[in-house]
Amino acid sequence: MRYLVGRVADFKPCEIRVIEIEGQSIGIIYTGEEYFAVLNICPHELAPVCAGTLSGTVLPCQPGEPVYSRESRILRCPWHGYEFDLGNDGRAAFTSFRGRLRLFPVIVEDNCVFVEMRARRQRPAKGD
Amino acid sequence: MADPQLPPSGTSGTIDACIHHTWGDVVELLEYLEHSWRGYVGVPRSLPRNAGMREWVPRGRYPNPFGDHLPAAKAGAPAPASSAEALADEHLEPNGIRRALLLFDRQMFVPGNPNPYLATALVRAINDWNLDRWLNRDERLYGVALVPSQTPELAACEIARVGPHPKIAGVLLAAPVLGKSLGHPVYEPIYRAAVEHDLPIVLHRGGDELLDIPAGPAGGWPMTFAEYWCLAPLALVTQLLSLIANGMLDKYPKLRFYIVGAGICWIPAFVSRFDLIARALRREVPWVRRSATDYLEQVRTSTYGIELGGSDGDTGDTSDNHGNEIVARIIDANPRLADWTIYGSGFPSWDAVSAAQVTRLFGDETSARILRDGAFEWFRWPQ
Repeated sequence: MRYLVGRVADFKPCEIRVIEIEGQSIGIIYTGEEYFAVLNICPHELAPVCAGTLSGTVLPCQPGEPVYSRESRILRCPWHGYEFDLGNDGRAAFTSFRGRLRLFPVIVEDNCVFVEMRARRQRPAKGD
Repeated sequence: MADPQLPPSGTSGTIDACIHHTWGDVVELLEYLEHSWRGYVGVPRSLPRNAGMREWVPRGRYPNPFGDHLPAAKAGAPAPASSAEALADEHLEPNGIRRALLLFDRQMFVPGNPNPYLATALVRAINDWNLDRWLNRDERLYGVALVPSQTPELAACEIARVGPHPKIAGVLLAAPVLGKSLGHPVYEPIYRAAVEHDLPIVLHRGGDELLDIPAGPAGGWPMTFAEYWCLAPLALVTQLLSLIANGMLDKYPKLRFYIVGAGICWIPAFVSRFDLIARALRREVPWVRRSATDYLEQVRTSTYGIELGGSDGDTGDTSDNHGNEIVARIIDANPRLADWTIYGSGFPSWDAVSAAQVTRLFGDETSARILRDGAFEWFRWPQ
């Protein structure tokens, strides 16, 4: 089911907006190019991952020669600093940690932004 | 405390990869020291009251109040392990040691001498003394290249000078003499040279207690030898972590290390703490790409320094000895520890470890690997 979470004009680039859909806390992230909808639970220790930061990160590289990349694609959890790559299906970035963020499809249509989730109750999304 | 005498318990064919050899008298070194420096350091006992030679072995803060060596050494007799012939009688023959890696005694700290030019001259002389008086005299004896690590480019030259000798099996680093931990890029010429000559680097404990170098233990200086000795393994873990976190093991994937004096119990804690770096803190050290167990493929640890605080002699009865029980349980819970362990006795140090103790801890089958195979594959010597 599609849940309307806002209009395109409502979202600023690099913003994380946490809303509730069907009783679940979801972070809506607009990178400036794409939208992501992220379940607000970190797979590591169940932290509110969407309270973290959105940025790029450094790729694995030679000592002393950091290469910055993935601008606005990396969501870093506020509790332990685990980095998740939104552009790689929410997988942990460049580590052996197997946990992944839960992402939901986002559809933009007629200047409206929708998140597609399985319906639990037949009610529209609540924004805040 | 170690057994009062190392029992003749080594299995035939044991390789002992940690012997602290020394000279009977420091005068032995003078003939190998370059002439201009010979006059500078002086001659021992050439002046009244046993004076005459400048002190140039860096002092430590914590002399062992009970002496550094096994009590078997008699007063007035030459120090143990002070000649190739004596070592054979005292240790190699009785314990069936077929190959030994000599790692120096306090000579290993000479690179920390505050005068870098003197340090370089002394290191060269010590290497020549080692080759002439030890390695060339007994086919069982192998050694390591001491290097003037304050000047890494000169250290690389020294590795190029003595490294090719077939009886040199490694390079010794005993102290972060420049005050920066060993992962600092300033030391890179040493690692490049070691890789070029296929020599593993031996990291020996003790450098953190020297007076003459700007380094110290984390958290503050202990006040007693007892504290220092208990903490000594941590200094080595500091250096290993520095090497990994600053990318040296990734930059030089063929570089390998042999850690001496840290025991084995540091490994499980290291592996689990390292996860923090690899996962949560990688943003700071993005060149750290592997897990701890992967990095440990480039590392081996010596049995010298193993945590056998309360010896139970040869009885094997650990009922009154919680320390040994803990070590035995750590080994049972971490079967891979044996993969990373190489036998080194530390003879003639007071805390030397016998082959019998290793066998009791690890069992016959596993200890056979530790007593022979581990060292066989690790150092650059004939297979």
